Amino acid sequence: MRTLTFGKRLLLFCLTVFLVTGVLAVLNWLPSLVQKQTMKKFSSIDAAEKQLRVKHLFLPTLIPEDLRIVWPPAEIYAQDVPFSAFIMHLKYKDSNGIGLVIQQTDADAPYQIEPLIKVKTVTAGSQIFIKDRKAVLVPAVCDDDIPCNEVSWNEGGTIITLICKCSAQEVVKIAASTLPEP
Amino acid sequence: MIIRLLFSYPGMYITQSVLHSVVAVIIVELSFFAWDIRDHFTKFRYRLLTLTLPILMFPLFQAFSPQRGSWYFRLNTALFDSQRWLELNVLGVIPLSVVFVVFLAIVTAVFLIQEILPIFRGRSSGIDLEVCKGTLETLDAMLDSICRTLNIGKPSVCIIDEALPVLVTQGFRDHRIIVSNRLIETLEEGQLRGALTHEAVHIMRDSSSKTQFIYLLRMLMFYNPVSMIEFRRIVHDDEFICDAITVSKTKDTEALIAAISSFYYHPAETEGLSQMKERIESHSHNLLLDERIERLREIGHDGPERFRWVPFLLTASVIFVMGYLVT
Repeated sequence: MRTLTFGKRLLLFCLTVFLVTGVLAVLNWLPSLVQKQTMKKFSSIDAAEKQLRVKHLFLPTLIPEDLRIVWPPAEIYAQDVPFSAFIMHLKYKDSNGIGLVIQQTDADAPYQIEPLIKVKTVTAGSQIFIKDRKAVLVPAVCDDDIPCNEVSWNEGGTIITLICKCSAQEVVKIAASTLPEP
Repeated sequence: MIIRLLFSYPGMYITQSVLHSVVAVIIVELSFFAWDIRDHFTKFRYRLLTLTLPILMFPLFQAFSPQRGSWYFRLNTALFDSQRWLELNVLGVIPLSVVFVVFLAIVTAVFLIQEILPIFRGRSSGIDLEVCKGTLETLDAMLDSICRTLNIGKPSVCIIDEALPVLVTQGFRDHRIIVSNRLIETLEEGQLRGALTHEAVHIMRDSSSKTQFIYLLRMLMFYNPVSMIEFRRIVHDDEFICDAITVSKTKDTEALIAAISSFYYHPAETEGLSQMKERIESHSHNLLLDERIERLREIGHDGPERFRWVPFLLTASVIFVMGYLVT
């Protein structure tokens, strides 16, 4: 061991680091074997619905064309454990940025799932009605100082939240399209 | 409730600092193997990484990269996400988060009982170090020559009337070496010179201040089992370092070995819980003495090896990067 050159010792050190990395990756993967319903990325909404016990999904049927936001969602994350949650990230047609986040989580969840679009500054929210449901509309400033709006309401024990880098009218329209006609 | 606590900022700090310590200690131990590090002076510095970095890493990462705390980062970028484990239930009944909190509570209780209570009770040692019986001219002259060799100010000497071999250094600026008359009677001149040089090297290295500072770091991580173990190993490393410097100065390894051997302690064989505790403590004390003697036989008269910065910085960088990816 004492006769090894610096290069060989460096290689040995790199190998040990790879070994630790591998062990950590395996340890990170193990819980998913025990509890399959924890937060995971899904390739499609159908795949998520099949694997999880999603009671009801609130999907938008209208996304204004001029927002240039692409449907279906670019990223879908969902979980049943420790509480039910379904998250969709919708990207712009011409860039990789996320323009709309739709989250639905259990109202009794012990903690909040922070949306990927960070709401930086928030002015006072106002109460509005979306198809007879009481909702809160919050005008805000999101990442890169882009004006955005957040709307959320409780739909029979599920908190639905939409954060859109668009106007208040547009996000309310999208939110309304997730609900059936009264 | 516990999950909510662990997923809060202080909860994440506690969880991640423990995980970062575990990762750091593994990387450091593997570095010892990969870089063939045997010298305790080098080990001392590497082990300091396991105590210092986990204190700073979480707040530093969160300050410069706030998104690191998000579920999105943990799911897509993190190498290891502690929350996946904390949400699990052992046998479908006991949440792992509860097991983790109970484990940290036990470590905290050990810290309080073993390290804090003795300070308040003032019974960490049954020996009264305050009753000085003056000093000896020969001892003074010996210490004078040792201090001139090490280029340090001469500390005062205090001889105590004690049946056990005692040799300790007190103070941060004005040092005082306390030695028991039993030790002076037992050791030959060369052995006593070795033992006193060892204490003088502690003064030269400013071991008292260093130990206090390191203990402060350890206290900040009172709940962390890795900090508890690593603190003890660092203190032991300091003894090995001082031994190596001592023999490099005195060139008399056997004398120091003989001096160290005089500190072996074997309590009387009696029954009872307190005796059992004493036997365990004396066993671990004697093991350390064994290790010091073994190491002295290994290194001979060589002093500490030259410290190599490149492997050290590489190890620190790996701990830092891994810490960033372990959430």
